[in-house]
Amino acid sequence: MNKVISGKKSKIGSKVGLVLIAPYLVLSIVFWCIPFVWSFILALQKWNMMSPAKFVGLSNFIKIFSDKLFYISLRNTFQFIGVFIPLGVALSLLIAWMIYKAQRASSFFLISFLLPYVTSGVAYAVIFSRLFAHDGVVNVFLRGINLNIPFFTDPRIAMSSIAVLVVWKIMGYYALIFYAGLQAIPQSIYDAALIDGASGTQTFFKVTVPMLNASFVTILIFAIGLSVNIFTEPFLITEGGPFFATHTFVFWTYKTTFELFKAGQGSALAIVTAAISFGLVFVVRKFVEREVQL
Amino acid sequence: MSVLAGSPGFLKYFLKGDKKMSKRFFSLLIIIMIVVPFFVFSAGEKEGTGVTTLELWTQPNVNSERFWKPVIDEFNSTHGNIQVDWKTIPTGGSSEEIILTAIATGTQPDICTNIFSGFLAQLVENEVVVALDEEFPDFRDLTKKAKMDGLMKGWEIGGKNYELPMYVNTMQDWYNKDLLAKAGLSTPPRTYSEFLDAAAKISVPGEVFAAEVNYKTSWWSRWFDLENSYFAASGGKPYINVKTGRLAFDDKYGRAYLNFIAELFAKKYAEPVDIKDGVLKGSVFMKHPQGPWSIKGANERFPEVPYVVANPLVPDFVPASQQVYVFADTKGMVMFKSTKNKEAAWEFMKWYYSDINHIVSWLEETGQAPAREDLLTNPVFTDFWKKNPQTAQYAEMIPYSIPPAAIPNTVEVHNLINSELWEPIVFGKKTVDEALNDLIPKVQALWE
Repeated sequence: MNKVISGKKSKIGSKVGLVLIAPYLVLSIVFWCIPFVWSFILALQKWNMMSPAKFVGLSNFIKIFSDKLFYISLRNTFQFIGVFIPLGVALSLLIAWMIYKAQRASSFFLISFLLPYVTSGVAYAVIFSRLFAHDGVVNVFLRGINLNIPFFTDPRIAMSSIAVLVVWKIMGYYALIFYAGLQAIPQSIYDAALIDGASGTQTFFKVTVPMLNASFVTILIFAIGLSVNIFTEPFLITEGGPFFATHTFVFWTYKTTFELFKAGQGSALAIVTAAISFGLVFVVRKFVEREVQL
Repeated sequence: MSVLAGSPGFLKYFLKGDKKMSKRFFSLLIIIMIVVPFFVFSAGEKEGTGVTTLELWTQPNVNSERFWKPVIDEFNSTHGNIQVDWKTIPTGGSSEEIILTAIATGTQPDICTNIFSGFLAQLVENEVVVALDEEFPDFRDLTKKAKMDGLMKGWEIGGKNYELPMYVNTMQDWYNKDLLAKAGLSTPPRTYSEFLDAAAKISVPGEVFAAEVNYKTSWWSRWFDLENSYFAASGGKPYINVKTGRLAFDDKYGRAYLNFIAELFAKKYAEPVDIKDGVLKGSVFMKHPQGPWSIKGANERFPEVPYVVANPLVPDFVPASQQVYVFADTKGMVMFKSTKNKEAAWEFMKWYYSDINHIVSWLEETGQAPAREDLLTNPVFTDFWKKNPQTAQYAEMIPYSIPPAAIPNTVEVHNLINSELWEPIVFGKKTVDEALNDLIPKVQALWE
């Protein structure tokens, strides 16, 4: 008898659960599943958003891979990753480590570093483009020591300049993840290392860093997603230039879809961008992710 | 404790019921979630009330909004059977992008302003806008009454008029008054050589630039400098053959201008840098070019008006007697074919254009010159021109202004101009000849 009641309760419970998640399910279907499937269908068509769409098979993908902009965007993405990930990870780990060690006012410091992350991307892009302009505060100061750096107008450094800006914006968020990881490491492990005679540096690299593997993997996955999908800063500060030096995949997708009105090709580009992102995440998980037992 | 203990009554009813009831409940929930927003977002329609509601989208800028609000209020209060639901074009990268997205999703308005000729050509090619002269027999009566009849030929696409002109922004250069005096000039230079002579006198590398030239590559940027200056030099010749895609920039006018730009950057008279208010603050001699929309803000921030407005420079071989033509950033009002209320929409358009007070108010609020033949002769505008001499200088060029070529692939052409010609010249990566040789066949290939 008890079993029957328990089974009935479980069925009713699952129905309540279904009802409660129904709004989320409907929204996911309407705003995620349908567009996701539709983007694959659209990628195989030629459509200017006005006339009827025409099936073109894989020609949108062929056009993408035979366009020099694909290789330029790929190069720029890796240039961004090359500056953003090492600098972003190192600075955020340093901040997290310092706050962790300081012990005092940790919430205040964490929130302070987190503030840029919650700032509007558009607002900070506009402000930084002015700060780093030829007549901006930074160059006015630099001219005092006979320096003038064309941060966003020299094709050789424009992408790196953008990467540094994004590091400033994001490092507080990554530091928060590292900080949570640091707090999860049991003190007993540090005590054991101390008894074994490990120096501070040895403890950091042999104990702390390996124990933060989950945080590293999380941050690397976030950082790859951000790097492959970088858009706001190149769009607002450099318009993809100079000489396509800050031309990125999402910028290209936007221009193709909303300036050239080639929605099919834009959709194909979005799929290619997602594939690159997934590929890089796979590599990170394969080579960085380790099982850590506390 | 029952899992239903805290649940609302209706949940208990459905969840205790049989499977069929549960399925009905879920189906009903999904239908409600899809249907309710539909009704919420289409609340503008007032079926059965005898009132026709029109949706109007206008230029998204503060001055334009200040103009449209009282105009729409006036229309709605005097037209009981037609009501205009006015919105600015929603925020996005460009008006064109938003309008296209709206067309793709079937949410375009009945009437829309801010349509430029290149975009109109695309809309026409895809048959989404109404040919106003074909649809409405009193079209010519309206254009005559609104003093636009003589302009309409220039606004045709394929021999038909799909839009009513709203405004024409011509392009001019601005010069800093103090630097002009420092260069020993009482009036702005006329030719490239005169400018370069002055530049040599006032330039201080990295600090005072002889020219501020837009090095960026938004697709429309070249309308305002390259094509504007080509019109100025050539006496208004078209810069592209709209049938073959052959660009004309390799003729003597185009080459003269491009060589001038190359020299500006080679001699560091201009640099690819962003300078805020350089011509107003005195760190830039000439801002090349500047639209009339900047006047109001500049005069508010710099009431002493530290600049003068002048025609674009021309090559040395162009005689002073030759009329200078300039580029015109023209925008108009269109009616979408999707409208279910063509007559009501036309009624609104006629009402707007028939009252000259609307046109005067537009000029006063936005500083953008209305597209009318009597702009400089009609006494109703005189007071405004007296108070706004800089804007008047722009308006004087309207009879000598040329809108952008009406080609459907405007963006692609301009992207190529930017990447193959403008950037390489500005950054000194190619000679003018090399850049032209690379560009021209690539643009023509778009027509093949």
